[in-house]
Amino acid sequence: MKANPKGSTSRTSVTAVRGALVTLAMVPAVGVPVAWADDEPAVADLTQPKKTVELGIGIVSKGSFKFGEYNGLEKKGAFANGNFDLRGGGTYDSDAASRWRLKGTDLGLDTRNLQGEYGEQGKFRLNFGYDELLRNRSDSYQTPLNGSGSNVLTLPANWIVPTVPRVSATAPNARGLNPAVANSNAIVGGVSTAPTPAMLATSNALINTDLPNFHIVNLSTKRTKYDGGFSYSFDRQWGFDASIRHEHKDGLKPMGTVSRNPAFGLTTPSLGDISTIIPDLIDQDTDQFNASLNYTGDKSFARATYYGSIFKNNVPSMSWQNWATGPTGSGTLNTMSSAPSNQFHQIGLTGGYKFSSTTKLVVNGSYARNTQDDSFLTNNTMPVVPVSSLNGLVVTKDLNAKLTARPVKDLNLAANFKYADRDNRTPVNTYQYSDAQETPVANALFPGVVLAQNANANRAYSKKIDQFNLDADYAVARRQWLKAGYDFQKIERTCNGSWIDCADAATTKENTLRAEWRANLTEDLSGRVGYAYSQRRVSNYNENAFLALVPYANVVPAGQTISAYQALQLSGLTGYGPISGLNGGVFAGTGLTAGQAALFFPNNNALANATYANNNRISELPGMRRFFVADRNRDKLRTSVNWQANEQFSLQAGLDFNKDNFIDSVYGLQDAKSWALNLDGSYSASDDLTASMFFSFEDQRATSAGNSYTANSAAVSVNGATAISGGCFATIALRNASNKVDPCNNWSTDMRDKATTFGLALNKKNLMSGKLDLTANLIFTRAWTDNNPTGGNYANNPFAGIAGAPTSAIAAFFIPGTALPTVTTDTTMLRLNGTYVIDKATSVRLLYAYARMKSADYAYTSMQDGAIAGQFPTFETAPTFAVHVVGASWIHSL
Amino acid sequence: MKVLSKATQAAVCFGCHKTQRAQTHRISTHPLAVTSIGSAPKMACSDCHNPHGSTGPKLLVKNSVNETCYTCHAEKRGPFLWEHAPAVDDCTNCHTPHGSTNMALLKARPPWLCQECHSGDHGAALRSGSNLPGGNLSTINGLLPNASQSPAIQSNARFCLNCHVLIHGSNHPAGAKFQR
Repeated sequence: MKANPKGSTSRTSVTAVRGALVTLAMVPAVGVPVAWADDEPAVADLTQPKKTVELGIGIVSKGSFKFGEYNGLEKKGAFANGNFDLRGGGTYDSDAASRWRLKGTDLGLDTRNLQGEYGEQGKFRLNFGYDELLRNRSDSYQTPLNGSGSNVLTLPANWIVPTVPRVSATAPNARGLNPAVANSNAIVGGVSTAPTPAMLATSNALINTDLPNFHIVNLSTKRTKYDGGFSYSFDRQWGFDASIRHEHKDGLKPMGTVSRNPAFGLTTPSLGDISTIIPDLIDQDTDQFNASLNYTGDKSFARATYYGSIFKNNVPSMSWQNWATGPTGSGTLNTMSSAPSNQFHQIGLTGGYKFSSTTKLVVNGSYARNTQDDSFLTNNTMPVVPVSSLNGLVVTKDLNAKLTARPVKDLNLAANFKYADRDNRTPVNTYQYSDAQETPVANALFPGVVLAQNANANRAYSKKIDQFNLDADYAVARRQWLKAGYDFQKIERTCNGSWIDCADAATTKENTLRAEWRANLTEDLSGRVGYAYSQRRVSNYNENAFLALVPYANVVPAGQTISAYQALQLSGLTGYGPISGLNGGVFAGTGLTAGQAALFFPNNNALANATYANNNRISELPGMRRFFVADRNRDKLRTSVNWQANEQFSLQAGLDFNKDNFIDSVYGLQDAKSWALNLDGSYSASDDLTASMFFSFEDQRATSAGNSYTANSAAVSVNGATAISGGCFATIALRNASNKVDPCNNWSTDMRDKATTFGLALNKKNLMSGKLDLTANLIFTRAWTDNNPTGGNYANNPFAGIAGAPTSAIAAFFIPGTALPTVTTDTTMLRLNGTYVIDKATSVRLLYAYARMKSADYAYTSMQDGAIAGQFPTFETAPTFAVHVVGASWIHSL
Repeated sequence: MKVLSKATQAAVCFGCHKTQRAQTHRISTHPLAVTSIGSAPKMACSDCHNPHGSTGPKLLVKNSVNETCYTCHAEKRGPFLWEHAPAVDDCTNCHTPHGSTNMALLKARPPWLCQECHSGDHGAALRSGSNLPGGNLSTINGLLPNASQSPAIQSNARFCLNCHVLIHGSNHPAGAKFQR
């Protein structure tokens, strides 16, 4: 008989396993009877693949989408559930290497999972999986739109466009759906005026018609996954792995959309956009593939890999009828695009070589192509679509190398280099279109060329990273280590094909120094302190980068002698405008003639939108720095202490601190700070009784700054009144003259998120003569979000100039910013579990769970009727629930 | 063995990563916590992180943050006709993946998150508690009636995302403002 060279190895390991198990079985555990110390069946239990089946029933006291967000228990009532774990094949102490496993969990719920595998240890392995994940998103969402579940949503035939007749007989106004608002007084010409009987009749008619059309649509999405895998070892050195995963996602999720309020006309720019939150149809498939060929030698390894991801969206668009135009109004059907289908294919090569027992090099490189070429949607608001699809291509290249070494005892060194290049090669074109449902109107500054309000070029963002890291870890003393590191990262951002550099910060460089001390001060006490300091700097923040979107900024408008961009170059200004303003048409020192300076809005001195053929102002404030590319100093501190007081009691404490300071940002994010305290304790009274708890508190705080300047009109009064109450200027005229430099318009916000989390776990085993195990878990979380602004802005006085009306002489008020209501969430989760052993093969499990959430969020106030004129109500409410779950299951070991 | 099971893996990781443990219990989170009936979480730490080493930051399973996120959110991969620079740059510019007190795992609450980068047009205005639904305008001269006035849409409901909803990118020729 031919000897199997693996045989002796196999038998050696089997003998070792047997020995270990027998030894384990014979060691008397603390507090556990030793009667079975030499009980052979116990050893058999540990060496035999087991099979268990669990069947259960339960009941949920109340339906709640938030309670059931991810657990499949969103509905009130009874449910059945089941789990199984079946293992078969050779025993662990035998020579047989073939084994299989079939496992299913939550089979009665929409979160069910099924896994199977079969393999021969050291030779091959086959596996498959099936998984469902239901995510519930809302059970209080309402809409009058019909067709939920399709991609065309229509208004009911009897829909009446809501108005507030006292305010306007014709202007659509979603607040008119609320009786209290529709029938209340309104300020008309500065006078509080009651609605007439005819107005009341109109209001009541539309309310009685429209409100019954609202119906609840449950919003949820479900992911269904199928996966399979195969691995095969050709020999001890070569192996192959492959896997495939198909995922289908379907359902409905809420999506904001923008439509046109016809009261503002279809050609008036920048006014009248209104919002409707619609049930967005989701129907998508994603296929992912992995394959790798692996080599493992004595001193080296190598792996060649392929990863593919193919995303297919089965919903090309979503359409809905505009509640403000009604089911038969002109241009009522709005359409927006869905996420485009796309593909990503990546090949990679990884290799490693061990130069010695203490020195190792690992290198990895990959190349990927990400493509997208879905046909563009078109409609009558787009007079020019230069191409029918994007032909998008992003090529990604990555290279990583890591060298680790231990040149002397107690010193570990590591050097790492990373290169990552996202090269977006998507063609750049100029697209002409009008905003939501507006009728295209030619731009008079570019006659015959720009046929709509917007002429925008796409920006194909590319990013290249060069990075290296050095680390040294040295045992400075007995049981004490010091670690130090240095990181350097350079990021270059560009756009292929743009007429001007598109990147706010073409190059950022960041240097980081790190140090950490850790020590085992005694056998029972250990700790660590780590600190890192980073400086990120931008070579030249580019306030003209946004002009890449608007290529007509580089074209001379009709009636001008230079383009908007040339005007900027002549004046030395950036596209964000001057710091101090161009007051009253005085352009001395700017290099501009009065005619050229007309390219700028008077007074507020922003580059006029029309000069770059765009419907909205897209420039920022001078000094605005986008935080992810802004100059930044960063501090990070990490500390922790572990104390094992005795065999029963241990404590851990950690304090983390982070601070980002954006040192050159006049506007935008100024700083961000956070700290977190974590405490953990565990107590083991015996092997049968253990308790653990934790407490976490996290405080995140950020400050952001802005300026609420607006485009001025030539008006110097409001209904004849000229005075401003409060603010930095006495009259409307004076304010207008210095609008952009009005210090009262400067504002900042202090945003703060705080959260406390407390957890407790108790385990008691072997009650009732070893038959009953109990566990209890409690998690409590309280979170607050606060926002305290400073500064303010102006609001016109609705009573201005009206004789007899209060404060009629005042044209406008300065409105100081006031704190937003605190957003709070309290969550409690209690879970009690008891398992009672009936006999060696059978046990029962009893479960009780209590979950409670109470949240308050002002965002939901505005989802009600009567809240906002241009926001269609959905009647959604902040998640609040108190749910009990009781369950029992029967567990049997086969 | 604990780290091989979704039911118990997080408990091992959270032994050190305690702030992340707390974040998984916030109102907005990925399905990372054991469910109320004790079932395993649908996601495990190893779905995104490889503790043994990786080519990405934070031991992520792919070369970059975005590549990792796209393994489950491929619809946000594009390339889009209209790209949103911070979204292409790094998903964590706006999102915090382990849990947040803000909707959609956002790092901060809109519209102020958006105003950290956008200060022009209606991004310029201060959004404060002075003009919320059901309230009145608070002036230094007292309150003005708000009955016929409407609060700003940007401060309410889904905030800027009431209209600029395709914030990860749009493929519509009229979608440069992420509205189509």
